[in-house]
Amino acid sequence: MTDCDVIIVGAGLAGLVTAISLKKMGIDSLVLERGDYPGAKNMFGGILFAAELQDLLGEDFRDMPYERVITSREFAYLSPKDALTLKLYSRQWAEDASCAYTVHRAAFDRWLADRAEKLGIEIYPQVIVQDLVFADNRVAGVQVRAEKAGELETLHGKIVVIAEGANALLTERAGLRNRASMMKPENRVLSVKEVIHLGEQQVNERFGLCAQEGCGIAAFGEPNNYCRGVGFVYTNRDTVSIGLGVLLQDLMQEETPIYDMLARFKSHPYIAPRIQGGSVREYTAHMIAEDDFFHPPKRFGNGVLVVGDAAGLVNMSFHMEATNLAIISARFAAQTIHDALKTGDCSASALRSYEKRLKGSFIHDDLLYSQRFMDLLTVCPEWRRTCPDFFVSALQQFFTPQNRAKRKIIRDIFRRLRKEIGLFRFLRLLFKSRRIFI
Amino acid sequence: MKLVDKLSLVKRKVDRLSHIHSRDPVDARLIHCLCHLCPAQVYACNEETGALIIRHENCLECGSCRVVCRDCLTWNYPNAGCGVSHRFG
Repeated sequence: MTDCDVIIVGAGLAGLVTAISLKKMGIDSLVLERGDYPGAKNMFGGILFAAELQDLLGEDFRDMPYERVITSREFAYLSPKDALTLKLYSRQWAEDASCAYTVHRAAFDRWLADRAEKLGIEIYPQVIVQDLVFADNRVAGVQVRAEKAGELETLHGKIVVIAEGANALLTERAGLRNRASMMKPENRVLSVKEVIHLGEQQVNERFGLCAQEGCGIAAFGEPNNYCRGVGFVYTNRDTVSIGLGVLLQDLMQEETPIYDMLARFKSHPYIAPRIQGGSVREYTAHMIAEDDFFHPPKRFGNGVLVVGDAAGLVNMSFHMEATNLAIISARFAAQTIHDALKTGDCSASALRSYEKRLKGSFIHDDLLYSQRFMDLLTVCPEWRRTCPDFFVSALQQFFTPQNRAKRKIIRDIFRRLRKEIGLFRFLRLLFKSRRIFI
Repeated sequence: MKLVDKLSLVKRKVDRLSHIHSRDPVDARLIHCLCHLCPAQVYACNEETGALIIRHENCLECGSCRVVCRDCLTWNYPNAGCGVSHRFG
């Protein structure tokens, strides 16, 4: 390892895309990764939104090791015995090859790192970055430990890009997160996931998929004890990724451990038949960044930029977008670094344009949307249980033949709405939620 | 399938030294919270002494415990070459 103008901490999606974008602009960088190989410590729900990556890689994108192309997305509310779902199937998504894919991060990240190495980028696995090195009030490099209990080594660089992920130890140590923006139970989601092997044919049959087609299910409600969080199922080629994420703040109040919630999710009558008989191949856990929009971490400083999850760029609403935000932020960072190195000014005022680029893009708006979504679930807990439970039972009542006039059944339902939720309370809920829908 | 069996599915190299340390005698309420929160049962409570037991070899490196018990735990990444290596991820 030798000094380099740009040092990137973390060989995940954001880190590698930064390195590749820089290389394409003729700038060398050094990528440091703490795992045995890129992707060794990574885990995600399952969908890679790849349009920007395709744009960056061009021809090279074609041999990406994906599992399936997402052609349907489903949102489900699960009560103990029932499920209310909304499912979109779009053939358009399959034809538009730049859309969304399920991937295994261990395979995908290694492939992306391989692409980067072919371009001439140096990637060093098994290197732990202990801290940033400061000189004259600016970041001048990183302190690394490459071997177990080995000596600390200092690497010098003009700009350090932090792409360390949701468990943002370094950004905290570097003072880019203050008291308001540091990692807290209210802005971190704990997620666990199992990869269950079923065989390709079984996955196709149980999820109603043709070859290569994939689906993603997001489930709310009973499985995660009506906490703020989501259960998810994603289809891979011959396996299924199933897991759930719960806000740490809510999990602290719960007596049920998250692995028991996952077990309950797996045994829900709507989910169980699809994974029955499968064998678990891996069980992993990871945090998801859900940083407060109004108290974000500092994403730039003198000689330092923060990208991807470490910068809190996650849209945790219905969309569950993070991979695309990681890629786009990485490309913004690369452009910013390119401009900074050209002028020779790597101070915070020069790197500020990274933040400007983020604010000028859809990312800023989407993060606000995500914040409003989470806030709504906080101030209107009715959306987590009371309301959807009512919808489920109302629909059940409506579609159960009862030898009574349908008009009377509808009247009963309205009567129940008035009694169980209250008409005024319901209208007020809708009013409070207007910003999510319009 | 029990959690112990699931944890054994994860490929890992266990370091002799723990990457998690507790600072002071940890509050019983926090111990209870840690035991329930950890997705890998790293934490347990010694029933006789009420002290916190840390089984770092179980750790999946999510970092949640540090977020929740910032004041009573020091959590570092496992040493280079140690800890989990996801085969799927």
